[in-house]
Amino acid sequence: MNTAATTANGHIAGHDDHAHHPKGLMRWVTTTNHKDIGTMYLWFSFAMFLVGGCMALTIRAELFQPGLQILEPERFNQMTTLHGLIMVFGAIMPAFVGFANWMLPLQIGASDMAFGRMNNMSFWMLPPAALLLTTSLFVPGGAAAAGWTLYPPLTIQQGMGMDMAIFAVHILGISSIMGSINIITTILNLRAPGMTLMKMPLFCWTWLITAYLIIAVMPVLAGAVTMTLTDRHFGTSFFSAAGGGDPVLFQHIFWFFGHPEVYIVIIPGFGVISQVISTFSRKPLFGYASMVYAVAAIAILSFTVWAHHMYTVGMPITAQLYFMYATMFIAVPTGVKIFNWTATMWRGSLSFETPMLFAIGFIFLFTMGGFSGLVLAMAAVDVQMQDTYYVVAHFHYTMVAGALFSAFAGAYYWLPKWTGHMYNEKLGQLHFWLSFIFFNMIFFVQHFLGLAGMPRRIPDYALQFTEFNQISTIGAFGFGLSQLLFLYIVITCIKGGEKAPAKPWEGAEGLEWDVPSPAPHHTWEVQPIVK
Amino acid sequence: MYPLRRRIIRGKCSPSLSNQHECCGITQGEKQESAYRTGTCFHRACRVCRIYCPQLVSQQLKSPHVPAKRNLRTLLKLAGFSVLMFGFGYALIPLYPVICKGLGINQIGVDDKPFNTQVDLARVVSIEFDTNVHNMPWKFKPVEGHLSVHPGQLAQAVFEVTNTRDVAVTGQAIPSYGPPLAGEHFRKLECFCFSKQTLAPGETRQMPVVFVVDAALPKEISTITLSYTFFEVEGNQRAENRTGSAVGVKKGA
Repeated sequence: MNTAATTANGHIAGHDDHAHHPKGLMRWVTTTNHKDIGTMYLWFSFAMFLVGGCMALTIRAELFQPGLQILEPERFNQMTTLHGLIMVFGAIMPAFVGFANWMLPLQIGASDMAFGRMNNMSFWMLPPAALLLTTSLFVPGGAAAAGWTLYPPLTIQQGMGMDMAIFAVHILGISSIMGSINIITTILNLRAPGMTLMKMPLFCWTWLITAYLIIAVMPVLAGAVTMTLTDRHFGTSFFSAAGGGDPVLFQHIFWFFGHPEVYIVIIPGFGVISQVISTFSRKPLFGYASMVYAVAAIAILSFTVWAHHMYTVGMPITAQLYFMYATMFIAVPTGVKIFNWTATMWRGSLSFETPMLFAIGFIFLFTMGGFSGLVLAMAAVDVQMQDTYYVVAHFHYTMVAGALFSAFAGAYYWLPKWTGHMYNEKLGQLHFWLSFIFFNMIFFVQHFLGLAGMPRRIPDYALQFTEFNQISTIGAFGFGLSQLLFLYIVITCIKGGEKAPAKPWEGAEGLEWDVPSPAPHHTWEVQPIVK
Repeated sequence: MYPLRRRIIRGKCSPSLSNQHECCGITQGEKQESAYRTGTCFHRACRVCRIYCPQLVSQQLKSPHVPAKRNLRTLLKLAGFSVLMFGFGYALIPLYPVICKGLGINQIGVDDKPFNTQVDLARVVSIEFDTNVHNMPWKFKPVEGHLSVHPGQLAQAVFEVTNTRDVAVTGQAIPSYGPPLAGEHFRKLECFCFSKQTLAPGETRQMPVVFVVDAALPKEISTITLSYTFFEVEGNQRAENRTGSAVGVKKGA
């Protein structure tokens, strides 16, 4: 969408006179530079991805055979809970905030994020939260084990691990709210002259909408866990049935947050995919305006469908019907996006570098996740399917093949800009194919397990589920090991490799390709003028 | 695609300054509007005099840190909004019961009354009953001469039959329909015509027919005549009352 960009005084790359920042560790502790902070976010999220991944592998190892082999049932529940919390709040969300920090100022022609110190603080709140979550495994009673949805009455009864999880959620929530305020302010106030909202790259648009979603729902989650906390320690009875509270009410409040949250996780990925598809099709994005409206529509509708997560808790039939139809309606704007991506590729001059492979894999697998979501949206079907592995398969198709694959697409797409080197294309493609195949090996079979009635969050299962579980577990270990290849690719790309030009991708458009690679510490100190 | 609405920023501008724009070279008052709209000029209008002011623009261009105040305002608005949403989370506790009650959807405690969705309430079909006996000493009549039913609705008609003879008589009823086409849409679930009826001397019996007229009944049919004729089943009668050969027994089909 960006046309040619020029600067008023010509672009000046790299300002050595600004380099008064501390060296070594203190550089990273005290930095207010959006690129440094973006880098820290990305490394942090990758570390949490590995931690959460190890937990997933522990779960899969336990499920390799029926019966209990390596985990007590309590530990198993702690693993599923922490895996969910860490992956959602520790890995996926910080990864996209990292992308936002790195790319938003470059894309809109701003010199930095609006609030540098707040940016620093919102990053440095993450490690303590991660510590709280991981170390809670070692306190008496173990970590939170009520599932990432933190439903009472379990959350009201468990030990201090639950308090640590609640505080971690508080901290992560505050951090992401601060990050969102920063992002909105940056986008609304710091765009280069001529960079109108409807000229912004889609990644900026998706993040603008996501940031509003975060500000709207994260405080609601904070309220819900605060109520849980006061129920536990201060004698209130919001959700504690013993004092007249209503446990089901928690589910309503949680999913009022939780459903927008799943779009918070995926919408920035939509932005990345839009740009990658357009670049490697060497065509402008098909239906730019309709993409923006579709994302906005998805975001607004996401507030109106929360109770489809809880058809079976006891809900009037009128409400079930409403939530069913409203949920299915979201397929319309989502379909607009899928068709627009396909239409962008249609008769484009396609090439299949790693980012494009991940983007196409995303479209293919995310659509499958969308379709299984439509199946689950039907109240009558959901009564049978809810809390089975069908649900697990569904949301991993949207979270892993959706959010994670788009993060990989974005990482490969912008790695040359970040590091100044091209990554190893062969290894990158190998990483894609390994991820793609092993991902389907893990989760495709889980559809069958769910249809056959295997319940989720249970460490043991009936004998007839063994074969599919073994396939799934083998796939999980393959997928986990493949991600170490990604780590290797990134490290070698940082250390060296073919020099990347300012615009390494032929079809790329946008201001970020007007700054040299690697992007100097300070960019766009003089704002470009977009015509 | 440049927005037509002008962006107005706060500040003062001095008309004494050079009125030629630094970036586009356009002189103030000339072609500004069109230059602005076509996107060749990015100057912003002063709040006071509503004209494009070079001073404001050059400040904005030279230092990206000028809008710090504006950033702070955005920050406060957004932070206020998130605090509000925190309160909204708490407000949901009393709001949920109120909303559920207000909308009248909280019927969890109320038993669902199942109803038949296959009944076509828009149509009424009149069912006329006709009864005959064929050479039999029986009186046979419907309790009610006709019924009005909706297609798909389960209905029951009652017939009364009396044996006027002083011996037991066995009979078989044969139905027929008018118009004959209606027969295939007239589904009987229970009928005295399904089996032979034996009446003791002087006995009077009420017999039900339970039926559904299915919804596929052609629209033009609004009246169906159901006619029953009782035939005497001679074999049974002869075994009790007559002597002779058992040849030539005919049964009603």
